[in-house]
Amino acid sequence: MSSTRRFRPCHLFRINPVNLDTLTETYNLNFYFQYMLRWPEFQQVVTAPDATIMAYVIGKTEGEGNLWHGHVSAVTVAPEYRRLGLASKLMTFTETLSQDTYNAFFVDLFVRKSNSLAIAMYKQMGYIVYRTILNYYGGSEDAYDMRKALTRDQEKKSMIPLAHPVKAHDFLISM
Amino acid sequence: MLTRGSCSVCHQASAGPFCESRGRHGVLCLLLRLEAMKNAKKASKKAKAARMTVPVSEAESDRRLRPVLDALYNHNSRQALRHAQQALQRRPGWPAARALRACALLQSGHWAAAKEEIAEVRADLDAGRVPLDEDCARKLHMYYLEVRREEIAAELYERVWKTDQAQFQPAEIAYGLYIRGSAFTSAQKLATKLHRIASSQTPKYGMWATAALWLGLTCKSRRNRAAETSTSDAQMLKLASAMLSTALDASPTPSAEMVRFSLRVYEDGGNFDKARELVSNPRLVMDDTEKLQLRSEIKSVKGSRETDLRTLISEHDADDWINWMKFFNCVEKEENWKQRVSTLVSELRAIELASSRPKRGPFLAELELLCRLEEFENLAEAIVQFFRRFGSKTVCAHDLRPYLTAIKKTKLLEVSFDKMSALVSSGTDASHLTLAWMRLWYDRLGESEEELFQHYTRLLTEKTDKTERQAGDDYLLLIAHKLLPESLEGSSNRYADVSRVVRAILILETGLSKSPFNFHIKLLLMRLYREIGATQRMAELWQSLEIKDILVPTLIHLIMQPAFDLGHHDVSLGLLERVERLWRECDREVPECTSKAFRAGSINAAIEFVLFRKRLEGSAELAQCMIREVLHNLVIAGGEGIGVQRAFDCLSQLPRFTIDTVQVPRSLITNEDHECWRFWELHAGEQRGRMQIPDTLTEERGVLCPLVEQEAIAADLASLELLVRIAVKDFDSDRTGRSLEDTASPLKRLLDSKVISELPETTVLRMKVALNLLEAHQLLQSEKSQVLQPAPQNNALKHKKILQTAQSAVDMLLTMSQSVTRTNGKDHPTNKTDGKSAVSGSNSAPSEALHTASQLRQCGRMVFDTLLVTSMAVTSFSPELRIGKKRGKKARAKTGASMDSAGLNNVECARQVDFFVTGLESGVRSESQ
Repeated sequence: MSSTRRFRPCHLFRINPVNLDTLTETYNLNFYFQYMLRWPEFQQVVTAPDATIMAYVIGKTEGEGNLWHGHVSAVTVAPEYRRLGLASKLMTFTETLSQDTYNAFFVDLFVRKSNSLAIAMYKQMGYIVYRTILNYYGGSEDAYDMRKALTRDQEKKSMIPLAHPVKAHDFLISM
Repeated sequence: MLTRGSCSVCHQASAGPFCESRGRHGVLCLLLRLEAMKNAKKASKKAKAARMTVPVSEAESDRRLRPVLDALYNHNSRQALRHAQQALQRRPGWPAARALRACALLQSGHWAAAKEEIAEVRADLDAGRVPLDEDCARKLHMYYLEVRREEIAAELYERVWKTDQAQFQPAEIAYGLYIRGSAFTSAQKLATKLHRIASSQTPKYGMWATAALWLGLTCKSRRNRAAETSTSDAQMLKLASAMLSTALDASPTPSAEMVRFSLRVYEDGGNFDKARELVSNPRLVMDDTEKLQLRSEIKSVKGSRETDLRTLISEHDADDWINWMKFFNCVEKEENWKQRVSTLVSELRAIELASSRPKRGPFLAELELLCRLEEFENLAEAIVQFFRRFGSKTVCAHDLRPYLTAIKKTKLLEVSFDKMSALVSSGTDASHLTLAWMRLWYDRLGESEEELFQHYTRLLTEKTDKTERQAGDDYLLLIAHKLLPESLEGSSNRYADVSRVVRAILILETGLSKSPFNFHIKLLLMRLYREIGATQRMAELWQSLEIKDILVPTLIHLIMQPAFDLGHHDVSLGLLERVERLWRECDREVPECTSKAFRAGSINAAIEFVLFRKRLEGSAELAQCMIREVLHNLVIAGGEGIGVQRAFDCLSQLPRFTIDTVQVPRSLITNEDHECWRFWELHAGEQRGRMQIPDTLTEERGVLCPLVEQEAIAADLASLELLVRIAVKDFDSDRTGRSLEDTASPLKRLLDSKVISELPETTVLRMKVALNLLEAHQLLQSEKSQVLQPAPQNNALKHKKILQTAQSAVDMLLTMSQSVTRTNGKDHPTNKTDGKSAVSGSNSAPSEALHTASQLRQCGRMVFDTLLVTSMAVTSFSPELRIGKKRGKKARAKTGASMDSAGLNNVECARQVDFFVTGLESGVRSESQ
């Protein structure tokens, strides 16, 4: 039982059950507000019947030309609500929005190399490891850039993996 | 009065008002003469400075004032002052330079001088002695931003706009600043003026005017609002609806954000038809599901609403519980409603049963239907069936809770539990845990602590990732509930029995060693450590949770009070710093985002940001933190007068509390989070009762703080306001007609009641130390009086060592704490009844007090460790705990062995014992040295 609604600023006061989990990053206010302001429809929160926040997704669109894509900045589920299919529900939502409303070529996300459970889940959803970004997390941990092509990318060019890893510094400059 | 021809000091004949004679009085005369000349020069300079007719160009302004801005940015206020002075020498009376000079004065802590400077600038501007342009308004804005009076800066921008009404930019800035400063009426007036001028070009300003009007009504103090008649509000809402309609008429294709906001206004004004019409606009660019969702939320014609909700449930998401509840509420009082709901539920159930991963929605809707029909026997059976299907999901227990509550007064509850138990195959079955939680809620958890612990150990695995939880972690929480039941007979405090608290801590620490990132365990441990007075460990756990940014205000109540009470100034000051950072960020970022949202036409987002800021600003946590910070400064400064100044400094650091007054909010909001405590405070979940449909506006505005707490906070803040007045020497006894002593007496009372009584080292901490010591001492005494059973051979040495260590540590700590307490009792400022010591006492008292506090804190931590070790030693030796009562020799040996293996070795309890013993010994050694 879950209700998916738009993630609004007042939900930030109730995200503890999700964000106290060590793998979930808590950003500063500006980060959340920029997303809510620029891409309000991408931000979704899932609540339980008793109004507890179970999960949420934060996303956006970015890039130019063939690189126009949807990006999942954060998708996270509270520990006691895992294995209910919430993450895949939210990912499907983002993919549909990126495809139908924004006509994007692909959807991508970054994940810690050590987060094997999440990587396995994304692979099951059809994502592939497009490239490795060295020292992306706090300058110490590598990240995988995972991608899934949408219908606009018929030849699935966006999913051809890069042969060599990218340095976080180079990657951030090119953004 | 000076007379011509005689010196005003020595009355000797002179040419001017002062003589030129030598000697002592001559020097005085000379000094006075110099002072008079200086004053005259200053006055003439001021008169000259106040005249300026031509505004300074943007280029020149940038060239001359850039160094001032850079210096201000680098917090080099002295340099900023110098540069501002240089700019003023070039351009006497230049208001922009004077505004920056005021900023520099503000930055250097010269509040009164800054205020005076700005007052002069304003007077010159009002009198037209100096010109007002946008650059000048920008610089003055910088000052008003610092003192949190942005609405005044808005007035200046509005004046700039009036000089050239074709340029909307200053007016738009003014509107944003009015909104930031919560001057919604002024914002509305300005937006209406803009709308009149530009309505043919854009509908934007009409929306702005409506938004300001609506915000003014919504943000009105809720307590005051309740007291007032609602007639005026209704009229204003009608006006807002009319303004909105006009604005929307000018916009043929309304944006999604515009519609979301418009629906708020129409719904508040009861204009449901208009709202429905708006959502049905074919030109509206919005996702179909959201359109349907918004339409279904409008309280209008029932038939169409029911259809919308039915479509949403059956075609979009059968698992959306809010829609299910709305659907029930919508049809419940209609004819044949049972039949209609039943048909929908059956259809969807059939679909879900055919799916490989059925959703719980239709099945739970069936329970809801039976519950509303009060068919409890069928409900009980449906509960069992639901459990059979979804019992392995962790959330199943929460899903079923409202329905179990519905049958809890009947025998059906017991029957249901029996049937559910029959469905659970073994302890490793995930549904066993679900059932255990449900049994706990209704006081029917029959399994012993040992049995629950065995379930936990059975589920332990090494394969789990470090960041993941062990599958059986919840069993440890259940053990903690068994040890410290929520409803105790004959005692209102579930933590009253210290030995039980320590046992719960041991169990949870054991769990934490296997699941180092389980935050439920950490939160509970923090709560328990608080009870036992071990704030050091509590602080460590808080650190390990890495709580930051927006999570801080919702969770700070967990640690702030105990850290303050138990004298952990380092911890609580660190927390205050974080809180302050967050509020500063909120004060800076949120208004920026609001302005951006207004400019981008995202009215709804702007409204949400304003409400968010209001909620954070008016939070009881902010007020509490501010009070704590002031008190901290007073405590740390001890008896020194500088403490008051420090307290004032910290007040000035906090946003929304201006130099002039401490704004006492009229409706404080509590932002404490209780969601993550549902696993421990079981009755809090129970109170919530049946599942509720969230009210958007209540969610956005937050829940009001209890009145008693509000009054206490308001009283403290009012006293602090006095403190500010005294600190800035702004007190005007003539104006108030009271003497300084009279006015200061509430301040004294505040200091007496808050600072002195809460000096942690003298009260709470001492009590905790004494209690823990007593507990450890008693445990050891009772242990000595018993005949010890021989411990297993391999553990004998270790146990003996633990016991010996604990005994010696307790003895030593008893002596140490007694000596500390004696010193404390003799010298501590608490014993001084006049309360002077807190503000003007001797210098030796604070350092002694701090030393004592530090000793006691160390003592407290060591005593706690001792207690833990003692308790473990006793537990491992005690024949009753080891082998249980009335058991045969065989059973005795078996249980003893299993306790040792499963309870201690397997979960590394032994390792923890070693850790504590080592820590304790090193602590004892360092103390004795």
